[in-house]
Amino acid sequence: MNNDKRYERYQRQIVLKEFGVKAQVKLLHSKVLVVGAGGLGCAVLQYLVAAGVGTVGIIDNDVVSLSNLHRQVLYTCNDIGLLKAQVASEKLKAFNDEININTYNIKLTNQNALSIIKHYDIIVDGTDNFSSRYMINDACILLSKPLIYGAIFKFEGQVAIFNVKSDLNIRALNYRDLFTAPPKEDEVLNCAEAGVLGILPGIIGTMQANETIKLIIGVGKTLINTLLTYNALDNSIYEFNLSLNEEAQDLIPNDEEAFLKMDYEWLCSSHINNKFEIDVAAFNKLVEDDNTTIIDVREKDEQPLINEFEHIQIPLNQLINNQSLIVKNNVIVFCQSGKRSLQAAKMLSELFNNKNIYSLKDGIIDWKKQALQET
Amino acid sequence: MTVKIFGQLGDIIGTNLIQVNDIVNTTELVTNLQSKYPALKNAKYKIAVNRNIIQSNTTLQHDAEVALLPPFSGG
Repeated sequence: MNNDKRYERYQRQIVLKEFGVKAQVKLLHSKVLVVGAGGLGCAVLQYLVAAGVGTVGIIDNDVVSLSNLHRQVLYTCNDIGLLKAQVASEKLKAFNDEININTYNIKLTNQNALSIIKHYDIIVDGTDNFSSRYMINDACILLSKPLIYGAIFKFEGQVAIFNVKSDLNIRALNYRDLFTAPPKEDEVLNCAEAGVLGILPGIIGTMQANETIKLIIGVGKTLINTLLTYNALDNSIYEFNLSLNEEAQDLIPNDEEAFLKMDYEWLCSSHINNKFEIDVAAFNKLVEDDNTTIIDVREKDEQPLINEFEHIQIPLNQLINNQSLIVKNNVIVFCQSGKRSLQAAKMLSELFNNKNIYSLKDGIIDWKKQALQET
Repeated sequence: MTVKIFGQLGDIIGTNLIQVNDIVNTTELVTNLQSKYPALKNAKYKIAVNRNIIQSNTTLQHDAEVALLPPFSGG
């Protein structure tokens, strides 16, 4: 810490007696990989870079779109269509030109994860899907890397630190001790389907950055083996103590070879339900059939509203309770992207074995798009 | 006792806090909730009792604070 400019940059945190030059040096020598440069990633990255984490890796293969801008605050209108990791990297270099930033414009998969993660001390999960979350968890276990977990849903967020041993008598706890096996992607809505408050990933991502920094410098109480939940609507915060799940151990690949063979996409996909799916052409034909009931399984206030064809609205979670409304022989369910409707089709097929059940593939947004192209 | 409902489970149950009485353990609680809210059967979630995540059936005192915690995927 003999460089005056460097001292000046970090002076306000160095003067904290709990922090000091020692903590700053630890940060400057640390390497953190942030997976996903979306809502969580944008917040995590800005604070890690500003605080002086010596090497920051950014990995994301997505491009910026207009619907990202309300929460992914590193990007501007001029960045739409550009690679997130690339844009984020350039912005962050302007924030702090004294640290190393590694940019990976690729998707982290089980085929490349170990060779990338091994170069870092701590991994931050800012991804938006379960297949990535389970894959990152398993990779961190194999390489013994601490994992700073963060996830959001509508107005609520979760934060935890996994894979850091705190009790000599039990192994380090991980994501699978909390949620053992992945839900299918159609069982839980993502941000695109459920919506998300723009400021929420900013809050949760900032908490992840704070946990990362505390873990590096060894100050304060961290969320090791603890799940923190935050609700932006009522400001409630809860902390839950994690516990060891014996079954979790059996689901984690034992070694690199087993990890490379895992099919994380398949674990979370809805492949078994695909027999219900129909495309736009088949859908439009069935709409004309008088013996067809069409059901919108989205929540009441979800956009776009549909007035192009007759249908009834029963949100997915009320479907079973309202089965008496479904009387015709052909039943088509639709939702935003085709995920919830697949789940609905599966439920309906279990309720009615004498009806033809269909789910509109890729959802009503895709249907609207195709209808617009035809006019 | 109170049952705090998180995330998407709130959409199924219609509230984020319910009061229940005379329930002896978490298995009985889940059975009761599932019969009242059938969509819960298809939902994945973890249960906490008095802020501790549990891995098996757990006895509930009359003043227990139960939480139903679903996984979130958003980022």
